[in-house]
Amino acid sequence: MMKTTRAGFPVLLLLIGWLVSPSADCSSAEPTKLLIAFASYKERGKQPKVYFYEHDGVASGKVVGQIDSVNQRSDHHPSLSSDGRYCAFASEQENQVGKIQLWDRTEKKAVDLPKINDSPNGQLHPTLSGNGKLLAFSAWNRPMAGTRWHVVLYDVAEKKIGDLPNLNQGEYDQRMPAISGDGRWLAFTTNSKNGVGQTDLFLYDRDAKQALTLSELNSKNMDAEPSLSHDGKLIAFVSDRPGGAGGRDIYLFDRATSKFFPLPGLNSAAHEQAPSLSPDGRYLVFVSERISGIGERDIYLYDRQAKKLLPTPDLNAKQEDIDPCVIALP
Amino acid sequence: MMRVGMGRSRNCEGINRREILRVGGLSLLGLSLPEIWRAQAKSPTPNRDISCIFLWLDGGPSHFETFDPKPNTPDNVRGPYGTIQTSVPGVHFCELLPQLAERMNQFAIIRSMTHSDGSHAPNSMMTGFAGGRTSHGAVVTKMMGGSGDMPPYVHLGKKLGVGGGHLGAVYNPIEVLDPTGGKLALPGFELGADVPAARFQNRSDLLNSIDQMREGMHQSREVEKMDVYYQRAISMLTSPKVREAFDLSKEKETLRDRYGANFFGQSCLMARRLVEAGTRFVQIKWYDGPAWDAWDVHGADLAGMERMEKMLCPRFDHGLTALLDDLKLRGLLDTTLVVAVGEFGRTPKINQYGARDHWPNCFSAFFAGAGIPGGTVVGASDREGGYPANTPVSPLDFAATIYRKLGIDTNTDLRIRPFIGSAAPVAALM
Repeated sequence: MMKTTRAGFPVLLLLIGWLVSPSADCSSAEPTKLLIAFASYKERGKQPKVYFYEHDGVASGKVVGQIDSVNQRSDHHPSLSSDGRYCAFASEQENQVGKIQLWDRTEKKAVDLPKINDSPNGQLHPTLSGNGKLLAFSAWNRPMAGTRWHVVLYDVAEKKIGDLPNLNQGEYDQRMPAISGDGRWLAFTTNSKNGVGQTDLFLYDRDAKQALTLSELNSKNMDAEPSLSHDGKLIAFVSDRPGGAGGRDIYLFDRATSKFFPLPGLNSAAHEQAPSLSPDGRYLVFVSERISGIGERDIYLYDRQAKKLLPTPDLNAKQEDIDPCVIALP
Repeated sequence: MMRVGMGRSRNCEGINRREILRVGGLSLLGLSLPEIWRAQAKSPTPNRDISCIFLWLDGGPSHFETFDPKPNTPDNVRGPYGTIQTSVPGVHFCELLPQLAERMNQFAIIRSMTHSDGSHAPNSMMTGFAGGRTSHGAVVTKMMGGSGDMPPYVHLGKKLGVGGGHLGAVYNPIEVLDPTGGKLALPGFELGADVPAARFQNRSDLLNSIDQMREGMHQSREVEKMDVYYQRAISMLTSPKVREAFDLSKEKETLRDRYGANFFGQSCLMARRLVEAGTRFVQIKWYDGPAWDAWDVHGADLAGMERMEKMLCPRFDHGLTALLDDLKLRGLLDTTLVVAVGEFGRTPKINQYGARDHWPNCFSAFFAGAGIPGGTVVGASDREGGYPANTPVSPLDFAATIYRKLGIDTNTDLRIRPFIGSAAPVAALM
């Protein structure tokens, strides 16, 4: 039996803390079982549906379910709660405006969200907090908000629109939100002139009720499509800044150190887009379009610890597969 | 399209004599390529040997989110994207086209295209006339023919409903539905398993087969005169050069990735191979799918302009710059005119879905290569991008520009008059 010395006890505490908290250096020893939600055109050439895929964190996986859709409705951009039970997604019935929906995977039915879609105009890009209680999304020309894109926050538990003081200010667009698992942080894309370049990423702190301009992250080029770790310290995003592998590339930024983590073997000469970071920051799923792929846009899974792409059997189809979201299964 | 070598009636060699030449519209009873070559031999051809790659941006791309952004307009016009300084001072593109912005000094943009047809019919921009059926490619094929043994006019993608028009089906393009993937099964050029290549390429056997077929045909001097063109058509059919031009697997994977692993990118790569081999006019239709028609981003299928941002513009930017760079590297850009345009632009005012609707009143067109002066912006749209502020360019002016650049004298050659009326090429692009 191992004895715990006085010197060893703090070390043990540190070890426990390291194991349960999101790890910037992703030094967790064992692969993690993953759940990936994604949209695919494989069954319907014109309207995507949302599917769920389980992966063992090494090399095996399979599709385990889907969201029941209706005829001529596009379902896309899924976002999972950290237990994998709930999935927010965007949907457009043909010739109707986009709406936000929430799916209960256990009950296999939609969750009622009163007033979330109280707008005659389009809404999309939902993002769900870890506990499934907060749902942020982009809304175009929402009543009383002005003719631009805004980030809207919906409290699922209270079933009402929440406040975002000091966000959605000025005459700029705010869109593509990503909420951290702990619900505190909201990253979003904006064309605000207060940024560094054209389209930039800002980060809204719900506790401080202020947005950070992330000047050390942004470039003079396009920076968009954020995804946050559970604690909001890591931000994965897309940029077409010079010096990348070619076209659009994915970057990972550590707010604690204001540095970028290398992602060897992830980016390519093709475009990489739509990154989703697992809550612990170890895994990244994203979309890329490569000759070596199966369809045009395919989904890839990257393990930061192994520093390589992992096989994803039966995930991609000859049709397009897009909008992935990854969590670690409990 | 018939597969060579298949058929119910066979001779003792396993070759279907009647079907062997019924390939890609090249039937014995109505040879297309030989007729083209015959017409070319009769008419003087221009000295310049310029090819054209015509990129049809089906669906109508927004000029705001491509070549003519309006950052200083109200929210419901501006759109959610930033603008990017191009390599030409004072000229900005939408930030969704960063690679093209870097190369603006190599090509020209017309920002004042205009017409009145808001439908998806390609006729206005592909023929010059709202009800026209005779495409630029068909006109060029008739007046200039091809080069060597390559098909002079090739269309990549689904049918467009314009082609030979009143010039006749003989001037329709050879159509290739999908150039992606490994070896391309060129329509009508597939060999049946029972017809070995060596056998098929035995030209004396073929000519013997033709002779046997012609025994039953009406013997006339006209038929005798067709021999040289028959032989040339057979030469094309049997040419490894033709097959190879359509075979994308001959390219390195890194280059294929550079063009983009999508239909548009791979079509651009195939177009480069075709003009390199001698095809005069290659036409690429931006493909449908997923979702609705290509650049027709109303936002009614996927909200907002996500398709522009995540799929259309990245692929366009990547593929077109790969094509320009590749043509330049191979010394082909000076002899290849590259044109990109759609049916129309899109509404200044953003709709309820967060996107834009059809707008033919003002939109942009792209020209590069063949001596097009780089860094040129022709015309301007008004403050909100709704109408030309100056230098309106009609579809006929656009057509005249293409014809002139390909070496057809639009001032003096009377044969071109039915296709351009009194229009003249855009002077700034000459």
